[in-house]
Amino acid sequence: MEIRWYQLLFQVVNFGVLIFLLNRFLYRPILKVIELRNKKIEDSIKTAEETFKEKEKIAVLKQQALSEAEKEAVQILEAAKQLADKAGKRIISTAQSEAEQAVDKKLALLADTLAQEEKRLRGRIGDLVVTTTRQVLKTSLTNQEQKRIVDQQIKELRKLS
Amino acid sequence: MPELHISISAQPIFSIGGFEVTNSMLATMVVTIFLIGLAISGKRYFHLKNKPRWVNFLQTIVESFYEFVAGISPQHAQKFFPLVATIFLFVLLGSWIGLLPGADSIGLTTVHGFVPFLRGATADINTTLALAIFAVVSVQFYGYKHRGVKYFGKFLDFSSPINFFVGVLELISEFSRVISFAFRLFGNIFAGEVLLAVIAFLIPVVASLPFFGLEIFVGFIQALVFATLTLVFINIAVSEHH
Repeated sequence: MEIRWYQLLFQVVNFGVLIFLLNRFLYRPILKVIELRNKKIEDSIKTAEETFKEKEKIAVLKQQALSEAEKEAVQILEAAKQLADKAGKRIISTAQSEAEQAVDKKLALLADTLAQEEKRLRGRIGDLVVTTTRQVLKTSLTNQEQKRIVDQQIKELRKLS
Repeated sequence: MPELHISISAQPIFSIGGFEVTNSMLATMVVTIFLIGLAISGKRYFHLKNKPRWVNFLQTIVESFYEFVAGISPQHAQKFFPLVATIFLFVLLGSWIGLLPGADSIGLTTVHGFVPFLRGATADINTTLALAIFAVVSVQFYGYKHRGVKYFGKFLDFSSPINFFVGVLELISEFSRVISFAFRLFGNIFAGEVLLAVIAFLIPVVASLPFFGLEIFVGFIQALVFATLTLVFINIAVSEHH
């Protein structure tokens, strides 16, 4: 076993050249790839975190919007109920007054018709009495009987009126 | 009966301008070219979603090791990673190359006898010592870079005789790190190769297979230990003293 200086020098130079060339052609390109990959991973994590934060924000906003919408819905429902109550009352009162008016009109019409019928019947009855009386008088009534009948008829008429 | 061929030193295969090229240097070059070739061919695929399986495998190894480094030194992982990862990959493949079929049996016969073309790169003390020196010098470099001249204050502390003595001990410990790094790795890998050679010599078929598994594991552990210790020493050097 002997140590030769030129062999030592050769090995040292050879190793130096090897480091230089491997660094240039092997380590640097691979470290660059690792660096790029790490950066990509970091960016992805950052993006994911931001997305998560945005999602949380959106969830909070959604919750707020939902609670506001619920409140508004309750308010709208209340208002609609009140409006419906008012409208219902108004419609019922209008219908009642209209119905009353219609009933009044019908009653008035009925009274009018009754009055006309009564008038017509009175005229007819009068005619019938006169006709009947004439026929009876023509046949066999004495003056006294005629007078009695006339009086009776007058009484009857008075009762009718 | 054939001879058992064990050599504690790397053996020269040929020489260029008076400098002998040993089989461990050849193995070092093979590992270096293989790693650089892998890196250059994989570079165009790293950023793509659909890539070949071997690129995925390579990327997984590098990424896993980066996670490991980041676990120990989260603040300086990117700075220390190239050095620590290169130590790991080089020691791993440098140890495993000696386990390849034919590594000990394909070679040439020289005046020194049979010399295999490949020998585990880390089974040569010159390689492990060079790596250890590189690692320890890097520790001093990063210490100085992060803490300035204050870093060297731990070696030269004249505030009291005890602190001065502690400084000397610190200096000795830095040198001892070089020795421990170099001999731990060399000892483990060389011992493994010797073990395999002896087992294969005694029982040529099948018997050495479990030991191959063991040596693959030892190569991985030694690579991890070398890289982790370097990282830990650098981490200690860059952190403030209390």
